[in-house]
Parts: sequence; C-alpha cells; structure tokens
Amino acid sequence: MPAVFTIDARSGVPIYLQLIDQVKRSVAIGVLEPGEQLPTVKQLALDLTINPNTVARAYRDLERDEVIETASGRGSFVRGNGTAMTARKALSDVAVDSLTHAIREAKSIGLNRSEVLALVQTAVDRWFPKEEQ
Amino acid sequence: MTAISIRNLTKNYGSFVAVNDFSADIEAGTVFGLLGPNGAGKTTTFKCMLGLAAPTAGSVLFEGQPLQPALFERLAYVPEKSVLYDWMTIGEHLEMQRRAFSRFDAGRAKELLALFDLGEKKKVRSLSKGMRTATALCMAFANNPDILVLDEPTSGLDPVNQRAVLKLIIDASAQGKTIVFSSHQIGQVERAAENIAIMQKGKLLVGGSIDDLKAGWKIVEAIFDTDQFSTNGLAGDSRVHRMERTGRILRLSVHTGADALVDELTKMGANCRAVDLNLEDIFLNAVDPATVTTDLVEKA
Amino acid sequence: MYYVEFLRVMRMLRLVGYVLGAVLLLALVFRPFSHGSINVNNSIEGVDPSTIPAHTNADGSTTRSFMGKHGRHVTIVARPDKTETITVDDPAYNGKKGGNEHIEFGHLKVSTSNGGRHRVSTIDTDLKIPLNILLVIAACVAAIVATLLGLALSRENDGHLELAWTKPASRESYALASVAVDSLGILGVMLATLVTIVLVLAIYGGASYITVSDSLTSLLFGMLFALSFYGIVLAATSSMRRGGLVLSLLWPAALILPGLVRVQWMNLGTVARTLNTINPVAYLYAFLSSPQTTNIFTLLPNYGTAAQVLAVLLLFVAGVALSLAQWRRLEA
Repeated sequence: MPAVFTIDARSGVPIYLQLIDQVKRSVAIGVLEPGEQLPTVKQLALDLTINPNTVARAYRDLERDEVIETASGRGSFVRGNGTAMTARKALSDVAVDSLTHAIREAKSIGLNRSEVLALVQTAVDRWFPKEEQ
Repeated sequence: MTAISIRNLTKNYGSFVAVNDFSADIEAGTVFGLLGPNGAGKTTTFKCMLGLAAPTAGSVLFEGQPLQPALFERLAYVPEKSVLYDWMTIGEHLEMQRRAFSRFDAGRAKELLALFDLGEKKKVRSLSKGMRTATALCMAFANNPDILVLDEPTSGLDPVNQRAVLKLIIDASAQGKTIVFSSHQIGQVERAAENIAIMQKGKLLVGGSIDDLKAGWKIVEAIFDTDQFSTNGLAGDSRVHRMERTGRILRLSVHTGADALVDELTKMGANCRAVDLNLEDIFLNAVDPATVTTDLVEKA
Repeated sequence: MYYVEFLRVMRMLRLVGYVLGAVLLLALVFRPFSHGSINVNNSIEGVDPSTIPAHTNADGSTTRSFMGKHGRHVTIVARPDKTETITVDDPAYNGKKGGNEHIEFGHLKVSTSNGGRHRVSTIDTDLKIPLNILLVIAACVAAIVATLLGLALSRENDGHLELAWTKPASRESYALASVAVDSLGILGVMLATLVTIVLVLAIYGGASYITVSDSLTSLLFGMLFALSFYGIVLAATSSMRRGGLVLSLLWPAALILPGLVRVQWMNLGTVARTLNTINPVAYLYAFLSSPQTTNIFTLLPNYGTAAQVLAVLLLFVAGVALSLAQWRRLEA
C-alpha cells in the first residue's frame, strides 16, 4: 500500500476528518487506484499511531460517501464502479472544503464580495489559462 | 457495553477532597484518557476504582458488577510510581505474574522485554525510572488483560519507547481491549484515546469524545468596524462560555454552535471566523479559561 | 499468591543456612584441637573401653573390666539411664598422703579413697543432654528469624500494595498465604537449627547423651513460641510502612519485662506483669522454671505447661487475626 497519510494529531481538526480528507485526496489524485486495498484498521492505526476506532470511524464515513467499500473478512477497497465519478466527487469534496475555508479567511480579513470574486477569477485564470481563451 | 462505570466517586483524606463527585462511563473496547494537572486526583481515582483505596462516597462498576478479586485475571493496573520489588529480578517479577495469572503468556512477556531491551536477570534495584515503568508494562500486557488501567504509562521513557507504549495501547485497542490511561503528554492522549475526562481539584471539568470536543470547542473571533459595538445580544447566550473584548476585536469561547454564531455575528456586520482548538487548547481552556484567549493573542 | 513471600523466606533460609553451616564448619575445624570429647570414656588408661567385651548384669547395666597402665584395674559400669561409674583401682599406689577426696566437676563426680597400698578412684558420670533444651534453643533461633519475617505485610505496605492487591485473590487470602509460607519457613529454621546442634554434639561425641523425655510438649511449645513472635510483629507492623523500629524495641522489651516484675518503683512491676501476658519470653521463662518460682503474670495465673503452650498459640493466632484486620483496612 503505497499511499502515505499524514496526520497532524495536534491539529484542532478531528483526526478522523483528517483521515477522510487524506483518503479522498489520494483517490482524487490517483495515488489510490480503484480496487486497491486499504490497510486494515489495525495496521493503519499502528502506522499512524492513532486510535483504531478513529480509523474505523473514518472508514465507515468513507464507505457512506461511497469512496471505499468493505468486503467482510477481506478488508476495505477503493470502489471500482464509477471510479471517475467517485474520484471527482472526492476531489470536489476536498476542493469545496478548501475554497470555503479560503473565502471565509478572505472575508474575515475584510475583503468584500467583489474583491473575493476578483481573487477567485485571478486564481482560476492562472490555473486554467487555455480554457479561458 | 460499559466496561467501567464510575458513579459520583468522592474520596476525602481528612479535610482534603482528593476526588469530588467524579462520574465517567468507559465503554468496552475504547481508549479513555484521563487528563488533569498535578494533584487533580487522577491517581486517587484509579486507586478507588481498583479497590486500593476505599471511596468516601460513590461506586464503581465493572461490566455492571462491583469489583471482585477474580476480575484481576482480566484487569491489569500499572501505577505511576514504581511498585516493583527492588530486591527481585525482572525475571522473578514475571514468574510472580505467571504463578498468579492464568492468562499470563510467557512468549508475549519475552517479546515485550525485547521491545524495551530489558534483561530478565537484571535486578529492579539497578533499573532507571523509565525501565521500571517498562517492566511494569511488560508484566501488565503479558497477562493479556481485557481491561488495562495505566497511570502515566510513558513517564520516564525516552521518545522512542514512549511511541512503543502508545503502539502497545493501540494494538491492544485494536484487539478490542478497554484501556484507561492518564498522561501529562496531551499529544499522546490525543493520538491514542477516543474519549477523555479532564479533572481539576478532584472534579470532572470536561468529558466526552475528543472528536466531539474538537468539533464543538472553538474560539469565535469577530472584528467589528468600530470599538463601539454592542454585545448585549450575547449576554445571556448559553453557547458563550467566555467573552473578551479588546478594541474592535471580540473573542468568544464556545463549546457548541460556533458556525451559527459566526453567521449571526457576520450579520451584525463583523468579520468573523471560528478558530479550531486542539486538545491542549481545550485542556488549558477547561483548566484555566483565561489561557486560550491569551494564547490566541500570541498566535495572532 | 505467595511467590514474593516464598522468595523472601528462601532468602532468609539461605542466610540461616550460611550461619548454621559456619557453626558446623567451625565445630569440625576445631575438633582436632579439643582435648578428648564430651564422651569421657573414649580412652581410659590408654584403652578404648568400646573394644572390651561387655558383661550384661541382671539390672540391665553392663560391666567392662580391663587392666590399665601400671597394673591399674578399671571397671566401667554403664547403666541404662546413661550414667556410668568408672572405678580405677591402683594397687601400687602406696600413698603417702592420707585423706579422701571428693571432687564434683560438672556432670562428673570424682572421689578417691586411699586404703593401704591401694587407691581407688571412682568417677560417676551423669551426663544427660535433654532434647527439650535443644528444642528450646532451636526455637529461640527460629524466633529471631520469625521477628524478621513478621514484617511481611509491612514490607508489602512499603510501596507494593498496588501489586499485591491487583492479583486475582482477596486481601485475606493473600495475607494468609504469606503467613503460611512464613510459618513453614520459621519451623524450617527451627528444624535446621536442631539438626545443626545435634551434629555439633555428634562431632564432639555427645550425641548419645541426648535424652528424650516429654519432648513433644517442648517441641510444641518451641514451635508456637517462635510463631508467637511472628504473630506479635505481624500485628504490630501491618499498618506501618517500615517496622524496623518496632523490631529494635521488641526484643529488648521482651527480654527485660520478665525481670521487671520485681521492681517496686512506681507501678512498674505491675505494668510489667500485665505486659508479660503478651510476652512470649515470659512464657518461655515460665516454661523453663518450676511452677512455684514463677509469678510474672497477673492476668493469667501460671497454670503449668499446657497453659503456656496454649498462651503462645493464642498469641500467634491473635497476632495474625489483628494483622488481618489492619490489612483489610489499609489503603494504597
């Protein structure tokens, strides 16, 4: 299992949420491929030195979000069906969270609506130059 | 199922109240962290739980039953201070366990000794504080208990062995064991535990799941356009535990509903954000409510 | 449950073993330098009497007769009660000095009578080593060990209760298991000491003089005497973390109290008499002396040997019971 998750236990973000984010990101960018097996709850808990029930909770939520599926006795796997959709959904989940966070930050600094929109436009132009034309 | 149920536990030593009406439920198969400043009553709570000291009031139930000596077949306790016999060797301590506990696993004991690089022939007298802790942990884990009560299980250990202890706890938890442990190292509790209780002066200050606490406990920071803003609407708000205003800045310590509060304050015209708190922040905030806001000023 | 106490007892037995072994070794080393032996008739007039055929008399005694040096005639009459009369008749004495002599020397009575050319020396031996005394000596050694082992629960209380009380056994059974192991250890020390004394006596040729009479009572008293010390120390120290002070006061007090009963000053005599009720040494004095001479108790009159045995038994049982009551209430 090549995917490496990094957990910041000292962050204010609950560890299971961090783990969900990390798995979704890995799926979105293709580090975790459809059908690929995830480490067992125990293995991941030991690797990351975090509570096993926290890992189990993250896996349950990932299953609910249809990112992974668990075959009893065989372990948890990245879902195979509609991989692209899963990945995109996963990606967009992560992106929405990041965008929300960024916009809230911008707002708290005191930027107004049009200033924030301009910032977003600049960022989009930078990363999607061809589509813009 | 509730593995350990502590009900209104109180312990007085003369006029000193070591534990004051403390209650907690520890679910089977979970890891429970007990936090508190020195002298908060953590060790006394453990002693009362395990029948080593008689509670002044309250009760403790294990799986619904009062403590019976036979339970110690399945329950291991590692106290904070060393209780090993100086004049005996590590091997003799393990032999003592083998004779007393039917579930003692000699092979596991050897693995554990190797993990901490301990030799059976060594006399306890020659061991450092950390090595004594490690020996006591080897004895406890080799008994293959269902319930582990560990008082400061990493004290005196170097970071490598501290991590090894955390992994032992996690491994045991993955096998469905119930673990209660206290630690001054909040980061360790944050990693290994799901549920915590924070004690101070014998009282339970905060209890619950770490995830829920992190989701609920926030500092809401609002910056108004003028320092003449009104906080009248927040005066009786049950969500607000502490309020502090400095010029145009208002800081609110909340235990729940931070997002809604951010929205309301935004509507009032403030630039507002909710700051996440880690367990250390939550601990400090609980023990001394003035701390967090001070910290945040430093962070800003 | 009793493994720790077992290790403690084994360490104690090893220590006692070293001491008794050293005593035995010293006895062996010094044997060649000792003059003769306890057994007076290993050699009489240069002859070993055991090489002379014995003639058995009607009363069960045996007579050996032989010629010693210078034509002296030796007759040894050995009686079943292990007393002997040795008569040496020197026909060529032709003594100048008159008068008879009578000398008593320990268990020997020597008398000489001069008559004409003859001088007849009679040596009466009455060497008896009562097993009772050996048992009491062994019991005293065991009692010293018992006072040390009596700190058992106090030692647990010195920082080990968390280990002792988190075993799958009740506090009572843990304590009683320790008491049982210690008691066996104490009796073991008594036995080892007795064997050592007998061996030393054997080395010096005295083993055959050991007489057994009413020894069962002494055995019982000795064992319970040692155990009563154990019970007293256990009861006195169970609530303490360190019982060393109790120990250092206990022996002097136990030894002095029987003597203090005669003191008239203040009420000291009365106090001592009362305290002697729980003093095993007082019962030992009473046990060893005749009933008329002992008046060291007030609460318990001296009812004789059986009462003394019962008293030390009660001290042991009461001590253990008191310590259990404390042990039950202790907190880690």
